[in-house]
Formats: sequence, C-alpha cells, structure tokens
Amino acid sequence: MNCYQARRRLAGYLDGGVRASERAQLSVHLDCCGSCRKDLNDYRLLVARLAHVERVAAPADLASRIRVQASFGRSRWLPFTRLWSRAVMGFRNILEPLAVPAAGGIVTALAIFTLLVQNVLVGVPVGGIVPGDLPLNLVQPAQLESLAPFSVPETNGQPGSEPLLLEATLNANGEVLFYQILSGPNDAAVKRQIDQMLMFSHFRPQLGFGRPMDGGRVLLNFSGIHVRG
Amino acid sequence: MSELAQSLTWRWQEDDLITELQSGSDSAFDYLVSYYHASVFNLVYGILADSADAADVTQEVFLRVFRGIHDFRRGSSLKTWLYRISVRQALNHRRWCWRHHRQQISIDAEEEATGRPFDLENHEATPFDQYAAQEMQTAVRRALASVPPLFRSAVILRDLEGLAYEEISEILDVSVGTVKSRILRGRRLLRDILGPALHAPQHETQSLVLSQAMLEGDPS
Repeated sequence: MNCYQARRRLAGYLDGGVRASERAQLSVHLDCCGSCRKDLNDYRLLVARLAHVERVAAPADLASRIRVQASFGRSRWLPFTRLWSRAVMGFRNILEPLAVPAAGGIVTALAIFTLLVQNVLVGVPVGGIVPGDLPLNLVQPAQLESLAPFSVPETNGQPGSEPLLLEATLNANGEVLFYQILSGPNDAAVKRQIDQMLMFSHFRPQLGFGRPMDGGRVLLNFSGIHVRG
Repeated sequence: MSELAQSLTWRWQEDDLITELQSGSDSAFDYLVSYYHASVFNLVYGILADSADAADVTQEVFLRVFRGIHDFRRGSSLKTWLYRISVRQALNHRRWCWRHHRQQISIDAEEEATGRPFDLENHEATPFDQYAAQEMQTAVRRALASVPPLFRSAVILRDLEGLAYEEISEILDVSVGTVKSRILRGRRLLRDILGPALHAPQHETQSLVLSQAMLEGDPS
C-alpha cells in the first residue's frame, strides 16, 4: 500500500471504518511511513476534539414549549376525535343487537343456497368440458352407459302412436331392480324384449358424493324409426 | 432533566414506554420529552448550527413523534427512530432555509460568533488554557458547519453522539458501507479545514489521545 492509498483510509483506521485486510496493510505501511503516522495522529486529535465538543445547552423553556405545542395539537384534534368516537359508538349501538340474528340469517341463507344449488344443478359438472371428468356434486343421477344389442321394442310406427317411455330403478351395482312403463305399448311381448334389453344393458348407478347409491332412476325413451324405400 | 421527569418515581423500560406512548399517555410523553429533548436539540444544532432553528426543529420532531408513535415498529429502538426523525427534519429545514433565506444574513449569528461572553468554569486551568479550549470548541463547531450536511450528520452521529455504524446506517437509511464512506470523507474534510489548529495545546485532549494510543498498543 502506498501513501496515497493509505491516506484515503486513515480517517477510518481508528474505529473500524476500514476492512480487516486493508487494516493489516495499513498498519504495515504505518510502521514504515512517518508522514502517514503524523496524519493518523491528526485524525486521532480530530476524533478526540470532536468527542470533547461541549454539548450545547437546550433553551430552558424548550421542554415546556414542546409540551404546550403537543397539548395544543391534541386539543385541536379533540373535537374531531370526540365526533368520530360518538359516530363509532352510535354505529355500534345500532348494529350490535342485529349482529347475531344477521350473522345467523346469513349463514342459514348460505347453507340453504348451497344445498339448493347442489340439488337444482344436480349432475352438472363444474367446468364439465373435460371428458371423463367426475363431477363432485352432492348427488349425481344414474345414467345409461351402453344399451344391449337387442332389437328395440316395436312401437306401431304409425304417426300419432306413442313412443315407448319407461322408468327403470337401479340398485347400487347399476342393476335394474324394476321398471315401469310410462307410455307406449304395454303387452307381454314388449315386456319380454324390455327385460332382455335391461338385463344386458350397462347402467351407472346413482352417486352420492362419488359413491354408488341405491334408488337411482333412469328414463328410457324408444322411438321406432322406419325408413321406406 | 426537568423537574417533572425527576419527580417520576420509576424508570420506564423502553417497551413499556412505547406501549404507554401508543396508548396516548401524557406522563409517558412528558418523560420522553424530558429525557430526550436535550439530545435531540444537540443533534439538530450540530446539523443546523443555529440555536433558534434547532429549538424549532426539536419542537417539530417531538410533535411528529407524538403524531406518528402509532406507526412506530418495535424492530428498531426508540432512540434510533427519534434520531432518524431529527436528522430528516434538520436536513429538510436546512434545505428549506437554503431555498428561502439564502439572501438573508443573520445578525444573531454575527453577534454569537464575536460577542459571546466567556465564563471561567474550571478554576484549576489557567484562563489562557480555558480560553484556548473555548476557541478550539468554536473552531471545531465552525469547521463542522462548513462540511456538507450529509457527511456532517454522519460525523456528528459517530464522533459526537458515539453511535455504532449499524445504528447510524439505520438512522440515515443508508448501508453501513455508505456510512463508513461518509464518515471517512467528513473527517478528511474536517482535518483539511482545521489544519494546524488541531495541534493547538489542549491538555485534556492530549492526554486522551495518549491514553487511546496506549490502549491500541500503537508505538507512535
């Protein structure tokens, strides 16, 4: 370290104002440089003189002035503070008696709304665009997965004749427990065809919170389509 | 310390003091003012070098403390926070004065510099020594006043108030490296300004320097 570099760091040498590595180099330089040692002594004197600078006495009335100003400032804000606290108190007095009933009402309304939405929008998946997505609604209805490859029960095919509409009730395994013909032909031949078809068709049972449940119902509608020619 | 603070029978712990201040306690504020107003005044006076301005700024500092005590974060010490407000207010005031009053020349300042009465306080030292010491004080104060405010505030906090680098860095809101650099440059400027006046005889200071040198084990 040369004198120029040393002099730039001397002012901080006294109290750890230079890095440890620089300090070591500086002390090596100071051992062999009388001029820098003299400068260091100047800084020592300076620091000592600064430390002995007499403290200036604060004006005798300064503390009182500060207290007076502070109390004046406080009294200036006092009317606003009072007004604000009264407003807050009034607001509380109005709202506090209503707080419990209002909170209860809101919670009940929320609960009812949630249940209602779940039941009304039953089976509608949230963001159900994704194929194979399993909706997490409370109850999902049973549905037909595949129809057995038997011939469709014949309706008369006449215009004006009713299509076959039946309601099947399923158990938790997706098997048909019984069914009821709601409209259409209701003879023994048709019933036999329906029995065959329902026995070999696959149904997904009704799901409650994702678990299969008994009592799922499926509506099946058969319309005969005849093409001539 | 004022009579009011002396009349308080118990000492405030800092946490208690802050809690009381935040709850709007008058006695806590009285204690704060009594305990810190002289230190704040000295710090501000060091930066502004004007007694009347320093008193005004000190007053403003405590009003700000009073208003802003709710925003005080417990992470730093109350003294550091108070000093930070003081330095900021003093520098703002100085900037304001420089903008608005730079054309004006104070008569009080002239009078203060030339016509201040000199009291013989120490009866052991000779009048000459005491006068020399007084002159040195004036010279150091004057030299401090001519150092740029950024360096001056760092030097005052370190060498007059005796704070650690970390505390100064928190007060000035700069890094420790910047604090060191400012102190270094401030001292260098002061040495250049004071020059040979530094070596004027002052028994007390000389003995202190010698004892400091002995403590450091320095051969010089």
